Amino acid sequence: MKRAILFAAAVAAAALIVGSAQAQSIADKVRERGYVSCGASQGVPGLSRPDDQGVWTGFDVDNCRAVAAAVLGDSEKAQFVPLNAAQRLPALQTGEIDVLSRTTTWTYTRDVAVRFVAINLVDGDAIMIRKALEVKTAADLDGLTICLQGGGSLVENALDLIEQNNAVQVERVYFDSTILARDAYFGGRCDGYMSDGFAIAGQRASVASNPDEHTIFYSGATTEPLALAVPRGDDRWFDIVRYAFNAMVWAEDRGITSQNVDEVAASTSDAETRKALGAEPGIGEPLGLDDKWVYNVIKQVGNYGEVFARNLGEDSPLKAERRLNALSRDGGILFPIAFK
Amino acid sequence: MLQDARFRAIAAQMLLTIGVVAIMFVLFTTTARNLELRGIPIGFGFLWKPANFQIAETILPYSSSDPNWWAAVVGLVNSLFVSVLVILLASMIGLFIGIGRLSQNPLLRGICRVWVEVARNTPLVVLLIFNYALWWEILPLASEAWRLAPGTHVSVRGLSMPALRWSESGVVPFVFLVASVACLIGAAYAANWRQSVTGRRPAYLAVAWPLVATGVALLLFMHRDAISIEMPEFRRANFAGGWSLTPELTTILIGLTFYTAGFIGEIVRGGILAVRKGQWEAATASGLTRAQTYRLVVVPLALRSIVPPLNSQYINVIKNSTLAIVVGYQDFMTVVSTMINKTSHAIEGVAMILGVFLLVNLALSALLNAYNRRIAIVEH
Repeated sequence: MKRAILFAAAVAAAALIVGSAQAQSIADKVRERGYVSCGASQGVPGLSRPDDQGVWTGFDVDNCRAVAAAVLGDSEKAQFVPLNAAQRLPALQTGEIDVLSRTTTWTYTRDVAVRFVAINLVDGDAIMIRKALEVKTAADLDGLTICLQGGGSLVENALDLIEQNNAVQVERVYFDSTILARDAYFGGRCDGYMSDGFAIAGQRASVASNPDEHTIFYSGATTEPLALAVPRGDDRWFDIVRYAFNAMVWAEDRGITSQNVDEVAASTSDAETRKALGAEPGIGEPLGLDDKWVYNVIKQVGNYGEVFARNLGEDSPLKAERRLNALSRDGGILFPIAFK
Repeated sequence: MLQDARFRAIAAQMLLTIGVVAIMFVLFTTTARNLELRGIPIGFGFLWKPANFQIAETILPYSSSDPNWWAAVVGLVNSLFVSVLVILLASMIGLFIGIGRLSQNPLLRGICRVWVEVARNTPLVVLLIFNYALWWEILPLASEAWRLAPGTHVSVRGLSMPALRWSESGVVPFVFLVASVACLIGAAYAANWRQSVTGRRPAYLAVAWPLVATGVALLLFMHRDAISIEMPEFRRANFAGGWSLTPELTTILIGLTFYTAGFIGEIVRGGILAVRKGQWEAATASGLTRAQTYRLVVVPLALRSIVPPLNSQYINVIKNSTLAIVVGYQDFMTVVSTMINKTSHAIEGVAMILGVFLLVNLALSALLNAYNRRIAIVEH
């Protein structure tokens, strides 16, 4: 009897805790906890990887740091949980992580399981080819041998599409891992090595004995929208993550960088910019954040262009081009949403 | 009735059977219901839809628009092709290693010992990847390929050779060629049979040989336009046309043969050591040379203890052939896995893999067991 009462009490207590947790936004939990928990990869150069001091760096990492800067005013207050592809959605659904920023392709099935917030990066298939072969268009691929991972991968489909669309024929050598395919390419077995674009750029930067010998061919056969995701059912948190990302895009659009943000905040006469950077009150209130949150994101993490350049672009070993990951006015897919 | 031992035995058997059938039934119905609840279709209908994926290297003709079942057959033939070649090669080499291990010559004995130890103590995957990576170190790039003979080149892309091509009318001499070989084999068997009955060997073969040879030569001459030699050509980066042997197939053949030959060598050695000393002495006393002793006395006797463990080695070869994808050769398992990824029919696909390997291995076992019965000592 005594045990039954104890059990009932425990159930009631648990129900109470669950009840209050449901009412509470993740933003409140993050403030209590003192850090944002981010889903990261198990180590992809340029995207998310701990450096030799154990500090996580990369494009996806910086996207999550922007959220930490917005909520907690400090981009360092983010912790990273390495996850494999199969673990990432359950980790978000069970609340182990607050934000998923880990090269996750936005699909219909996934979007009804979690909430995709914004496309933060677009990737597609790419082929690393020796420069001497002078491949300019897909037609130049005819008769070449390509090493790639098989097993029905997305890249494999892309190669089939390239063949169909350009009436060319390539010889394939399939492997069960993209690393073996890469080694076979560098060993001379194949003329090209095919994988995802940023992975290819990373391999050229980090593995090729002479990166200048290789060129990267983007066929455009497939495009992968990689997006930030949050759990379902928390509008407040969704808003915070969406606008933390938007702050970086918006800043690039307005020419505001981590270097000049103080100067702009002090000197600008544009009403929207003054409000966004906290020179006038009001920007934080709708999201329950302080008025300096946009300023903090830009100052501590930088604008989208800076984040891209630092991790994937010209200032990184990858030297990847912006391509679709540019502002809409430059032919990209990034639309800044006005802070009005 | 419970005192009746016969009744108890039958009852226990029946209960067990009912239990097993019930468990199977529950498993199947639960799986089917759960799959239905999750909206996952189950059934083998997907086998008749186009595969829509490529297989890099095939023995049988294949294109990605072929149905899934054909892709599976093509994959199976890829697997069996490798397995059969490896079994033949590893058996021959293993026989020599086993004999070499018992040789008086220390160099030969040492080489065979190193082979066995390396093969037995290295994981097969490591052996395969090492072997594959070795090609890049040894062989030249395609543009600097070694020319062995006109139209025959070796490079890191593989061996490229001129190929014999038959146009459609060329099928006639080809069929005749096959038929002729069959005739010759038939003649040899007939001669053997006559010899066993009458004690005298008729000269069937001596007559058949020249006849068949003249016939084939005449036919080939008549159809000489139908037969052509296709020379490989170097275009941009690759040799195109002709016949080629890829590094992937070569690696899985060499790697798996090396590995299996080590194990077979030990089985052969054990079998030879099991032949009693008296048999050796009797053979030597009869004036047989060492080679004759092996061929006529020791190996036939050793076979009795070699064949049963050899059976499991052969089955291992077939199972190990699934590692071929590590070095880029697509086998049955890889093809069906790709199919599973494409169609989401995981349960059916895995059942296919299990069923086919079971069937192939059982067939091989049955074959070897039949052979084992034939060579076993028959006691009257």
